[in-house]
Amino acid sequence: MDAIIDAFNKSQSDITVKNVKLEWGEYYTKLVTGVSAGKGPDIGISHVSKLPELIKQGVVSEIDDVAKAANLNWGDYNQNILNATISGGKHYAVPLDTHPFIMYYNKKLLQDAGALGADGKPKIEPGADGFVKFLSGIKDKLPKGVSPMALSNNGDDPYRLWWAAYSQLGGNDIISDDGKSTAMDMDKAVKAANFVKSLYYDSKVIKPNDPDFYKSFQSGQAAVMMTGVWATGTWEATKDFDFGAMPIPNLFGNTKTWGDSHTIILPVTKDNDAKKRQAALAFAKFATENGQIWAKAGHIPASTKVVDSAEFKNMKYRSDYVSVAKDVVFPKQSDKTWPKNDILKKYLDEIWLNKTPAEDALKKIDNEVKSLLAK
Amino acid sequence: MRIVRTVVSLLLALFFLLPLSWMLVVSVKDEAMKIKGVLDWYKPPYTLDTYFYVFRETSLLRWMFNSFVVACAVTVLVVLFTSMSAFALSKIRFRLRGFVFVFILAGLMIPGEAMIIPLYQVVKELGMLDSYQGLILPAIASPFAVVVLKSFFDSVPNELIESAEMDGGGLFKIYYSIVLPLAKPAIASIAILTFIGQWNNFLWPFISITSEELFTLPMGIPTLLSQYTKDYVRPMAINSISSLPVIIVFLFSRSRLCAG
Amino acid sequence: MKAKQLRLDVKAFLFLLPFLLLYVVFTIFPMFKGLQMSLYDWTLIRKMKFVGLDNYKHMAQDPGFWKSLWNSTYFVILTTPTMLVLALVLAVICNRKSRLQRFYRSVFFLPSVLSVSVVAYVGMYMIQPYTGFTNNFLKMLGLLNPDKELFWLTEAPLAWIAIAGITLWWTVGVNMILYLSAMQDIPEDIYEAARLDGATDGQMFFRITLPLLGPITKTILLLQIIASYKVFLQIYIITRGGPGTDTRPIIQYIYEEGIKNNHMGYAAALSYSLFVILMLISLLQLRVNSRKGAVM
Repeated sequence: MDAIIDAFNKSQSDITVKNVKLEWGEYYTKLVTGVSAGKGPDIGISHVSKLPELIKQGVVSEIDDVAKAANLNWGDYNQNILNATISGGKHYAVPLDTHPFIMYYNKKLLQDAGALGADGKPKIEPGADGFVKFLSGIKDKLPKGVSPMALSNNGDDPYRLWWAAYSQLGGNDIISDDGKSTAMDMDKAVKAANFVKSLYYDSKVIKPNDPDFYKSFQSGQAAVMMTGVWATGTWEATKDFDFGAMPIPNLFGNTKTWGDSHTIILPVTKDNDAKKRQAALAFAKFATENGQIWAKAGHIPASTKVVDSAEFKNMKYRSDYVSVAKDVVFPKQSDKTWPKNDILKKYLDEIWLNKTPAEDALKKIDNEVKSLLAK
Repeated sequence: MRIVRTVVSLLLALFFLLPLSWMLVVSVKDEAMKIKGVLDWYKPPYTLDTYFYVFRETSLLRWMFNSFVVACAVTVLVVLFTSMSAFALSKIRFRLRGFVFVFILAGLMIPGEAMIIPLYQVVKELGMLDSYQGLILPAIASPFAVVVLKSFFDSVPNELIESAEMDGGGLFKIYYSIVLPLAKPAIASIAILTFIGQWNNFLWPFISITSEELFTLPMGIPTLLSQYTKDYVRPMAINSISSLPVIIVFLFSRSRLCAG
Repeated sequence: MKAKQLRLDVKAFLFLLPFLLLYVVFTIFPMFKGLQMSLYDWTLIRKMKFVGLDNYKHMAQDPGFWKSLWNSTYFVILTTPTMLVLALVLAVICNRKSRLQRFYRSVFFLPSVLSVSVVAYVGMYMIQPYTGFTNNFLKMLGLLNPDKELFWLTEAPLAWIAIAGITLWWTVGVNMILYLSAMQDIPEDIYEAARLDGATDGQMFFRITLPLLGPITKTILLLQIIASYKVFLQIYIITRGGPGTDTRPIIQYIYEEGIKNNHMGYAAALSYSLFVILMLISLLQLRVNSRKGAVM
């Protein structure tokens, strides 16, 4: 993001954009409290999945007026994501990227274990069994202390893998079409959960309770790992690190996966200054039209022009997973998506910790999401 | 027997120092260090690079400055305002004195943390969210200092004040030149406790401040540390930089605090 | 005479004004504001609609509320007795005549001056599996099998031990000082008389020191209970309330509901439950102390 802002600030002299970085999961809290205090920023980022909640809270403003004035062509954006940014016929955000959940692998470790094909890709047979066989097969061939796979045992990433497996099985959206109840496919959800759990406890291909699984992979302590595409930039910046990127393997008949998308929003401000709003949109336009800068971190740009550009096509790794963008199964747009995901992660964690059987945990999820939606 | 006791005491003391020593020593290591056992952390090589990096790349100094400004302002105002109130309650025979005292005393029972959500709303309606005033003013409204200082002023003999009144001193002059100097030890304790409390205050700044320029140290530290990666050196350098000033102040003022 | 009284009233009022103004605005008024909010559907951005007692009814059936209230209570039960014992032991060490007396006092009090963020982060990094300090230290002492790892963050009992241990280390110094000053108030001649009667050190401690520390123990006990109910940040940083919600305290739940999930009205109702509990404990404290004849 800093690179885009630098480029933008250099490209013209009327507008200066200043960035405030907030790590630590409190970004949205600060955005909402900032807006509520009348001290919100002029530009913000929102996940497309969070957008309906922010719109309902009155944190995000409509941008049709400024977009028109800036000649923003909505046709240049990935229509799937664009549709998710429209509410009540009005645009609320400019799509910036898609960031799917993918798999990374350490080429050298796989090569030494004899599991890398001539095409430089891991030799994995299709199906969940094929994937487990691949991991179990390299387990003994890897150097001592190196685990076949790295994944945290709680929070986001195992949840994402679960969602990928559940989606590959053809599971319904968790929220029913009318948005008032749940529509989870219990059998498929349990099957997907037991698959993820088996990686920790049955085939034991993941190091238990790894405090920092990014670092484990980065330092060659794990042969494969799964996370969002944003890690690409980090691996590229690591010295002497020969890695590859690929879609989540075909576990249940296809390669569907988890993903989300960043969009640029104009938060509601106290003075509603037209000039500042126009300037903010000019930045949004610049940032998305120059998505190749943002893609350096690893994300797939939401601007179709950028994706088709030679500059992006020549970027290493991205071309290996750009196709994944269409395999992403987005959850239904709802202002309850994030609270729902919190409930999911909370009880899925209990499965990964071997505290609660998958059936019970998912029943609890179903009940709690039901009462969330009834609120 | 004596030896056993001394050994146990010393072990306990060492045990208490372990976390701090580990924090300091990790902060001067290199992230690429190879750790096989506990002692490896304590062995050289050391480097101050991470400190320079933190000073260069983060706003830690700015937040330290904010914390210092807020803690000082709160301390000065608490001492001034609460001692004035305590003086009135103790030495001026005004009507409603009993009522006002009970009114303040009742405040001792209101736990600040439990009222943080309504306080947020009140401060929001006053338009003071995300500002120095919003950080400082609510912290002064602590009845604790008033009650402590009043009981201290009560022990100052009334004759002293009466004779000063005879000499034609106004009430403010009596407060300023007689009562305040006599209450120095109590005021010093209140000041130290208030300062440390404010320096470490987390919840209220965390909830009420949204602008990075106004972050205080305790709420700023978590924003520098990603939940997802567990580097050791940078967090410990940040912790060390944040702690060294208070540790130094403590070691200088410990005679007062630890006198018992 | 009346004019003089009026002058005194005005002067007293001027002395009281700065404090009273802030006190009313920031301490008294929020109490009533909170009551009002708890009867509304209220978000960070605006007041939505009056819902009567719905927030309280929902609270009574909300497992998240009961669990977090229990977690805070569990933390109180876990830390308060251990805190009293440890504070007493440390005070005894510091009270013994020794060349290291000042050293001991400083060392035991030192953690108390640290910021809660620092304490929480140092603690969290120490208990990381594989690369953290604690497991490696236990292995060095031979208390933990070199091939094993303790997962402090993902097993609830271990997480509680870690949180309680870190909190004790951080705050025991203040209570130690309270005990220490109470011990120093015990007249030396009582001990001398006992020594003449042939009492041993142990007897003197259990027969004289301990009973005389009764009142201060009550005070520390109550202060400690109140302080422990307010636990938040250590837990938030170290376990984020996990595993699952096994260590999530009530303040974290209030924060999450109010600020994160934007249910300010419901959070105000939750706050009131905590408020009532703490108020009852404070009243108890006031009663205990007023029996001694003092206000404080």
